[in-house]
Amino acid sequence: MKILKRNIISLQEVEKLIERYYEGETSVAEENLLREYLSGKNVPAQFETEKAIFGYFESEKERQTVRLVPRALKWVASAAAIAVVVFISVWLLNQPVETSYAYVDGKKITDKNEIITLAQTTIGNLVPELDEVEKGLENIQSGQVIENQLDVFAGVDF
Amino acid sequence: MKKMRKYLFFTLFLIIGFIANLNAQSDLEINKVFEQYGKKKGSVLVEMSREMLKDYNFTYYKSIVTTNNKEVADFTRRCLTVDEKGAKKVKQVVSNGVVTSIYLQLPPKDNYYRLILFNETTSPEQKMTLIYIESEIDSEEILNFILKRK
Repeated sequence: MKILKRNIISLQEVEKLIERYYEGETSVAEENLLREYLSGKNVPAQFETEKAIFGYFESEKERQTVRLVPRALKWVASAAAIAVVVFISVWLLNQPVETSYAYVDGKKITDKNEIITLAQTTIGNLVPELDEVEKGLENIQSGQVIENQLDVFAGVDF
Repeated sequence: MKKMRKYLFFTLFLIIGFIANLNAQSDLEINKVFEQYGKKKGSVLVEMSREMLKDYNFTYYKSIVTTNNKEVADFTRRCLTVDEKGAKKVKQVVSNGVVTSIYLQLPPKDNYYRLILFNETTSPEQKMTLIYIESEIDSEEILNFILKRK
């Protein structure tokens, strides 16, 4: 079909083009011509549906064009987010862990006094053992162990 | 691409979570004892960090006490055989071939002195006590400090 400029295209030709468009027989150039015609002013009411269709595609095209910039921005935002995450990680790594709690039979306790009491009781379980360690340390310091061991040989005649 | 970004953020948050929970005790085998048995019935788990230990010269404290649970004691002993490598034994008591008490001074990590205290008694009831302490002061001083407080 001969491609005409919008201002000289006849209604009949538009109708034919639309018909061919629906049949999927139009070329890219013809579709562009239709788009140009339908996006113009004073489009007859009978082509409102087609105008809407082409208008939609037009807005989609615009939307896709506009998306190019936000996509780049999204990458920048992602990089910034990663930087923030890394920064927080490093910061957390340098922070002392502030957690104090206790579990008794699976039940969580957060009361500070109760936690300290439980810890003291736990250490108390080791007290008899710690007594021995203390005695041992004292003996080593005073040489008592060696003396005690030498005492075994005290009564031996040479 | 969206999916990839989601996975990326998810991984990063996991890393953050991991880092946030990281301390010098994390690399020890006995950590498994606290994790596996700490919140079970019959267990008493205590964890205290710096803000509660100002008066005690510790920077970190974690302990577990279990009663009438031989399985935990045996598991702890197995963990201790791993952790005692490179550590200094302050005390060890072996009864009938079984370690019933062991105090380990671990090599310092991140400028923190580390101490593990383990004890198991069988009378009047079977009771296992495992304590892990981190401090900026020497482990021997920690022991002396505990002795003074008893």
